[in-house]
Amino acid sequence: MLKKIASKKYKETIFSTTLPNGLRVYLMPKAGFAKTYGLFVTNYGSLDNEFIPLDGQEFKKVPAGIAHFLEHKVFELEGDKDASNLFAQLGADANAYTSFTETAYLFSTTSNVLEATKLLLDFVQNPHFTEESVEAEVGIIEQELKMYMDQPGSALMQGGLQMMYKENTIRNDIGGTLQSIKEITYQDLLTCYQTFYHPGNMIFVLVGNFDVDAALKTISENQAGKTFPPFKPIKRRYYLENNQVYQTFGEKQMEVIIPRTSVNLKIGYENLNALEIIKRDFLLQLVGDIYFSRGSDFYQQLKKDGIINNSFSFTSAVHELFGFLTLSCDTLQYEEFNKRIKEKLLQIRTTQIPKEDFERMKKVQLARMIRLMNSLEFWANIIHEAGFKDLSPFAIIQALEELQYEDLHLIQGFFVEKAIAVYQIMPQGDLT
Amino acid sequence: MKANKIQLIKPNGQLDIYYMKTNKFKTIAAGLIFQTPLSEEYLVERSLLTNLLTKRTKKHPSEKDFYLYLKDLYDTAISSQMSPRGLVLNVGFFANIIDDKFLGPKVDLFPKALAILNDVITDPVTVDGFFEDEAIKQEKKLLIDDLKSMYNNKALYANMQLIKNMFKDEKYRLNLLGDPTLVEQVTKESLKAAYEKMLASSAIGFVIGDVDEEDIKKAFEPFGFVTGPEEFSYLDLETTNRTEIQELKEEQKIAQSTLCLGYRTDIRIGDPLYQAMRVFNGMFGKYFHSELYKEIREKHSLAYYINSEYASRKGALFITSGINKDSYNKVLTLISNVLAAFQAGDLDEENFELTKKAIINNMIEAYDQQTGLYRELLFFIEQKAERKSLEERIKEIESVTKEEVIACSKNLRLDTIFFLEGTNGDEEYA
Repeated sequence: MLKKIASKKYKETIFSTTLPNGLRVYLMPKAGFAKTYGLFVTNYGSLDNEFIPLDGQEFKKVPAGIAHFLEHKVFELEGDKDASNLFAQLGADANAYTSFTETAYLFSTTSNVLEATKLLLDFVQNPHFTEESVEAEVGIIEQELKMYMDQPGSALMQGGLQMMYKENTIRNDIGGTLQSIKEITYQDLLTCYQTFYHPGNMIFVLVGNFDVDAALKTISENQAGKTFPPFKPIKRRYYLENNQVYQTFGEKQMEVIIPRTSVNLKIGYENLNALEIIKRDFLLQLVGDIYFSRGSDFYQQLKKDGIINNSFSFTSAVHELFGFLTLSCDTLQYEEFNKRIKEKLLQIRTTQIPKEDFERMKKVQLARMIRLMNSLEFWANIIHEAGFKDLSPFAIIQALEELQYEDLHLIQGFFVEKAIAVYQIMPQGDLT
Repeated sequence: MKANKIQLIKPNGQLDIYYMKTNKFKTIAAGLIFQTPLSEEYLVERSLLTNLLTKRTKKHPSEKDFYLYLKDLYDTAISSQMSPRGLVLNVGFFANIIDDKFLGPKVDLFPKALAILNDVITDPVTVDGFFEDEAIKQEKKLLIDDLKSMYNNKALYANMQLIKNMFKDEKYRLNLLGDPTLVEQVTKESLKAAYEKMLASSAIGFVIGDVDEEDIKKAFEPFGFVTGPEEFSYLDLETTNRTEIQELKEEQKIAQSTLCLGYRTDIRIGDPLYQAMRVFNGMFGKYFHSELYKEIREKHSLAYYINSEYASRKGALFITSGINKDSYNKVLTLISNVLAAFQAGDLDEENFELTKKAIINNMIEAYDQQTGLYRELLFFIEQKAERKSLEERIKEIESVTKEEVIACSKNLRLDTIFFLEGTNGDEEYA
């Protein structure tokens, strides 16, 4: 039956249950909102290239970009129709995305919520792609890949990951390459689908303006009417790495006016539970806010010296299978940028971080989270991310609230020389 | 769905404050908007001011300290943005704060944030009334770097080139933030003049969130700005009568080419065919079920994206698509065929229904975001009266007829084509 999790502080309530076929369902009513956001997501992304298929015994390896390719094909219905059309008929807006770790199908609507819910469940669980349609999709995905290839931001990120990681599949572009997508077969797609799109590997979330009991009834009945083989935890193979980077420097030429450089710090694999990892994720972000935002002397000096400008950015992620921190900027002073950022990163290892800086940035992170709570998409995301880790979404927020100054030591050890790799995008020809 | 009521509050008789009460969000948005006619004069200066003013104040003259001060106030965000609306330029200063009730301790962020906003606008760091040379120099450099990096976003760059060429004799081109060379020409005198002019222009304030009316009055009371009596022109009726379509090309060493088309239309907001034009644009190229998408992506696999965008104040429609360079002629022909089909009265029934539903869905969803409510507020202010209710506007969309859509398609005139040609072959990306 429905479990209820409530937060008095944030005035939100979430209901959850696991259906007999293994599908985890989360329902979050939001008063006052006109729209409802539905998300049906599988714990399968571009990292999952080696696995034991549902009906197999041996590990199988598939070409890069297949999870994304499959996402395109799942939208296809019988008789050359497209699922987005059916959603549009209900007045709903549908979309999908593939990331390193998941593939998600979603809709947003202000009417016909239950019908849209059924449709989402039905079309994802009933794909109709054929050999011909697989071939036809290659041309479309080619254009999508080329669009990203021309984006210096994408190229920079991918290049950075390829410098840091030798074998971890994160070094593959999520969409694959122009070559790898041509190697994807109809049979491969089917195998991936059958293995990873089992309800036991998936989560369904509904956030917004709907009746909880009616939604539960719709979803349960819909799933009860379908048959699935018994679910077995999927065996996946990953090439997890320590924090030694594969290459310390790389660059490529693109059609840009100013060089774009990035200094990347690799976070090595540690055998930790989900909350410990989430904690480190928050802490790294916090340290980034302290040293690399406009509130730091370091930042102000870099700006004063003309080394950085508004394009300067900091990103970080700590995840079970990978982790990194990246600082990048479009700048003619890329050599000085690389040098100073590297020096600063190494300094962080032994710095006594002032407690008031920690407290301030912790407040900022909390405020950021509260801001995001205005969005239904945020809730759908945090709910399912927590769900895949067997956590409650409020547990993640609580992890942030409970961060202690002393926790900083958990991540200061990350900042070592062998974990640093530089990747640059340079203009064609000579710099004028 | 009931739309939120907008209240007009006049705390000191000079400044109009528009308050949209809602408890849907965990944040409060407030701001002050200066309005002037859109013109080239001081345009770059204004852009620089939005950055100069929001980084520090006389009370907090160090950028770093001001930043940390705001962070201590639970990440209170102070920002500024310029946006043209028709022939009006809005220069807005905004504060976005967490609603106190979601924080443990009582912090009184609203009055604090409004006081900071007032300081940001009226109490900047100056020397003898001028902005500091060093600060000006730095902001200029940052703006130039921003403009240069737009070059890296190929679809954006291609669109900018289309607009630059299509509207070279019209004010609409001023939508583009500017030319790096014009930035160089800014002096501390022109900046001071622009600043003073801005302070003297007509202003309006707003609040979106759950705040007591008394607190709003108190917070805005010290603001010394005035809402002027001017009538602003939110429609842009400028046009150029072109006898020949401009066909322009530029080569770059990139993988994907971007095709941009610019059309003119006489139909703008307020025109009897306005809602029909929105339906036409939706059917033409706005949604996954639109004709351009179906034809060029689904049927011919020639693009991953193709969109049409309707500039309703300007009277223009733009198509953008990422394609292979060899598909140029083919795609142009397909687009032309799609438009011709509309003009011949060949309308897909399903598309017609789906588009109306999608537009209505979008209209209702807009109310779930603070930015959507802000746009509602701006419309309310511009139309100087209660805007038609959401229900009325939905009915207008529902009653759009096929004949009206066809009439809209007949009113489109192709003006300019810009093609950003990517000359890198596939071998470069093995």
